[in-house]
Amino acid sequence: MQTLVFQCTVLLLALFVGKDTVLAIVSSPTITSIIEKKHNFFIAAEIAFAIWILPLLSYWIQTAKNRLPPITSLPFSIAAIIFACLSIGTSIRFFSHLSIACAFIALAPANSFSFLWLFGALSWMPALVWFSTKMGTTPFDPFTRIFLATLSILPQLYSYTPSKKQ
Amino acid sequence: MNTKKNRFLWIFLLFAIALSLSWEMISIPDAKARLDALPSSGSFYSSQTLPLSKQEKQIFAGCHMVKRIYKVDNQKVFVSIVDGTKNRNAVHDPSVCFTGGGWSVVKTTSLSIPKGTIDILTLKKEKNTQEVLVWFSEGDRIYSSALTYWARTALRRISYGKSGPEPVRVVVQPLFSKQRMDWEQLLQKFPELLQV
Repeated sequence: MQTLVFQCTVLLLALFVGKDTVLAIVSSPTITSIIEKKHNFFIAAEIAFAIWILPLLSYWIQTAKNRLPPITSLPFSIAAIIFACLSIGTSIRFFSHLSIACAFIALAPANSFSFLWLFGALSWMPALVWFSTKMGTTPFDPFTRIFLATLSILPQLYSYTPSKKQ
Repeated sequence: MNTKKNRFLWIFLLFAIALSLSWEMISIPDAKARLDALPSSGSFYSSQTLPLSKQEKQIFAGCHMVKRIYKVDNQKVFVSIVDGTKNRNAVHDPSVCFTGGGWSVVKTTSLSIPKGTIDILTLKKEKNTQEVLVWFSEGDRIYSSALTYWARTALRRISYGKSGPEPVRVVVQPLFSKQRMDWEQLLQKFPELLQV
């Protein structure tokens, strides 16, 4: 319980440090942008985030349903604090996004798929635009974000399913 | 968590929270004086200052900016300079900004100057093609890499501004997309642009 309080405080810190992006994603008119084919830096980021967070939701629903004590991951919480400090000190937003991603991942048990899940967080990060521009791919294609998010969560989602646990 | 580990983690977390709350209050020297020193007219050029749009005011909140149209001999260019000291995140990699505006960067060539390197981006949007000059300037040092800019500004923030002057982002683009540009001549006639 004490660990969970700690990890929720870390999540709050990560969200505070990355508040600009959180607000931008929340207020971004995704659906309108997709329909009108407008260029938007946060296009489909909300959808990608909604997909990306599914393993965590799945884990917590299962935990609550079976009345099991939640298992969390302290190393990811520590990583979230480190990234938050880096973001504050350097003003580089990418670190705050990594901090948010790590803080969310920390609320579920860690395994080898957690790193793939963390990589999939790029799907809702503005940094994807930069990476895709540098790689010469289409940065504003909402399907790129959705595909990346889906692909990255599948193993983790499977590992959190009750049949796997039992 | 055992008590010792627990205490250490909470101290670490509280330090991070205190840091996040206090960091925004610390101000480091900006590049406003360098931007103000850029002449609006000279022997070979004249300019017209443009107001910031509502969207620009929102994006560049807290930044010092120069947004002017310069006429250098017979070449008309749009010059945009941003000092992101108080809002570093408003200063993006120019190639990403242009991509966001619907342009594709089809070619990047480097132009060497005594203080460093400038990038000439060849942009394409439907049937229009245009060249744009982009660089980051610290006054006595010029570079075109956004990664260098991020590293230098990060170092400057960590060192409370002691690592050097704040880099500013400079973008020079032709006013008309079909205009043929002689960049070297433009920079020769308007050398102050490289001193920002």
